[in-house]
Parts: sequence; structure tokens; C-alpha cells
Amino acid sequence: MKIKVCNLKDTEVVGKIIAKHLEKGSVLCLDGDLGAGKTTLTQFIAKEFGINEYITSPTFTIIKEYEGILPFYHMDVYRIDSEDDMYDLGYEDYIYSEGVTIIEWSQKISNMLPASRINIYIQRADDENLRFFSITGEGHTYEKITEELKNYENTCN
Amino acid sequence: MRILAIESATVIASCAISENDVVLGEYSLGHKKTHSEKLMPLIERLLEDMEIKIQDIDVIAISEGPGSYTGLRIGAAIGKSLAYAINVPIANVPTMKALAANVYSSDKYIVPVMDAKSGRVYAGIYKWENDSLITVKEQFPANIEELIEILNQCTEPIILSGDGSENYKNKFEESLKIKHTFSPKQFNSLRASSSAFLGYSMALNGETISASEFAPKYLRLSQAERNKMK
Repeated sequence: MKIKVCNLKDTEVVGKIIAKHLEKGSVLCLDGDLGAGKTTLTQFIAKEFGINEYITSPTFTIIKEYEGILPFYHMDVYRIDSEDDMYDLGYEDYIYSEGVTIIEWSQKISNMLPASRINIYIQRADDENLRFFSITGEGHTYEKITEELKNYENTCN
Repeated sequence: MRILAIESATVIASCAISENDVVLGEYSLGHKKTHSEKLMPLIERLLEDMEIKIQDIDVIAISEGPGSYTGLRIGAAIGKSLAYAINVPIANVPTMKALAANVYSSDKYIVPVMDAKSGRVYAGIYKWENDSLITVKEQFPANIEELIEILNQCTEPIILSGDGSENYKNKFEESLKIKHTFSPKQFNSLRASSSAFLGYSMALNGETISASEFAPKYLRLSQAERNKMK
């Protein structure tokens, strides 16, 4: 499924739709080049979970925990070099938890991701503000999100 | 012999004090994984409520893993520091054996199964001989299909326990060719008193280690083994 996102307002709308369906144990993977808007989308989703803190990309801390309506875990695995690094961070305790996990640069750890998850690849276009979100995934939450996005006006196919 | 046991491998934060093989007191919390905040105060409270000084403890039993990475590290940090401070040995209790010790049978093998998610489990095979829990097969990581294959080679009927026995019940029912039963749910949670019991017999047999020797056992698969599973 591909979605056209023209500006910040659109990102917020998509973020709201996704956030509505995320539940305990959901894992959302965000990939795309630097500056694509992975953290921006995360901020909008976090807002829906009642997190008012300013969310920055945890590039150096790798994992940051927030207390929202559900525990909210924000990971940036850009600096991870091996699967063992992830184990040493106790990542399993996060992705199989009672909280929601968002993983930026998830392709770095593609072998370790749970089967049931939502992947969003954010692609920049020539226009400075224009983005395309490619959404794939598996599982109950993914199905609910795509079901609702089908009726969203900016969905391309 | 007084044993202080610490259990933090799963969502349960638990501590117990026993005198030889009799439990004197036990506190357990199954509320979120906040062991870093809850477990140490829980131990302090147990000692205080039982009017026992930490110096009166002879052995510290720690549920060594496998289990939650963070949970095991918290239990290790607490247990090691206490053992070091009062200069007593540590009984490193295999967590799967502690889980097995919740269940008794005079003739069946006890097979505790912990769900490690994504189709992976931790398990072990144990049996009771009089008052002792004997290890038939040491705790090991496996995927669920491998475990079933191993169990199908068992010569005795088995009792499955642990959250893995609940979560994979259908799979076990479908594929197990040997006689098997499932333990009632109330025996599927870890509790420190089981580690205290096993720690006591380890201490009797001289199987304890020093505070500096203790390390959590994650039973993590090596990269090569993980690749093979794909």
C-alpha cells in the first residue's frame, strides 16, 4: 500500500490513523533516508498516546522509553552493528512487551524483527515536502491499519 | 542453613527465605517488569518482617536464567552484591529447574517450557526421586518443533508446565506422540521458594559458587545457530 503525503498535516493524519490501531506488543518499523521524516511521524504517533515530551531521535541512546497511555519505546538502531548488540540491549524485553515499539532504521536488524509488525518505508520525492509511505506488514494490527487507510483520500492504490 | 532466594527471570519479582528445606517466608509481585524499583525493597521488607538480619543468611540462591534479559541482570546485580557484602556463596539455580520444582509427580517426567516468543522456547526435562528433583536433560533453547521432536523420544509420560505449555498447547496436542498432561496454570509462574528449595540441595552437595563467579545464563543462541534456524 502506497500513500502520498504532501505536507506535515498529512503526516499527522496518517500518524493518527496508525496510532489508533497500535496496541500492546505492536511493533512499527520505520525506514527511509536521513531527513525522510521517520522521527516526525513518530512524534505525531506519540502525541496520540498522550506523550507530550519532545521526541528526538535516540540515535545515541538507541532506546528511549516514554510513559503514555501505553509504555512507548522509541528505538533508533542506526548504530547497531550486529544482532548480538541488540541482545545486549535486552531488545526482546521491549518488542515482546506490554508496550508499543517504534524502530527507526529497522532494516539494520531485519533478521530479528517479529513476524507480526508494520513496516513503513518513507521515500522522498523531488518536491521538498512530498513523501510516499510504502506500508507492508503482517498480523492483526497491520490489517486494521491498512483497512482504514484504504479509505484515506491520499492512498494511491 | 538459611537461604535467601531471588527470582527475577520473568514478570514475577519474588524473594524467599527458607531454613533448610522449609520456606519461612516469601513475597512475590507479578506487576509489570519494574524489578529495578521493586525487588530490592521487597527483599528488605521480607528480612524486616521476618526479623532476620541479612548477616543471618548462609547462602543466596539466584534464579540464573534463561528469561528476561533485564530481569536476570537485576537479580544478578542484587544477589551478587548481597553475597559479596556478607561473604556467602551463591547457588546458581537453573530457572527451568525452578519452574519444574513447582510440580510434583512420583512417576512422570516434568517438562517446564518457557515461551521465548517467535516460536522459540526454553525447556528442560526433570524427574522427582524421593525428595530430590533430578535433571534428566539440562535446560536448553529450541524452537517448538525441535522441542516436540526431543520430547517424542522420551521413554516416560510427561507433565508440561510453564507459559510455553499454555501458549503452545494446541501444537503439543497435535504433535506429541507420547503420553502427556498439562500442569494446572497456578503452577506455571516462577516463585523464589522453588529456587530456595533447589539452592538448599545444591549447597548440601557443595555445588555453590562465589559471588564473583555468578553470571546470568541467557541461553542465547549463537549467531551461527540462529542462521541455521532460518
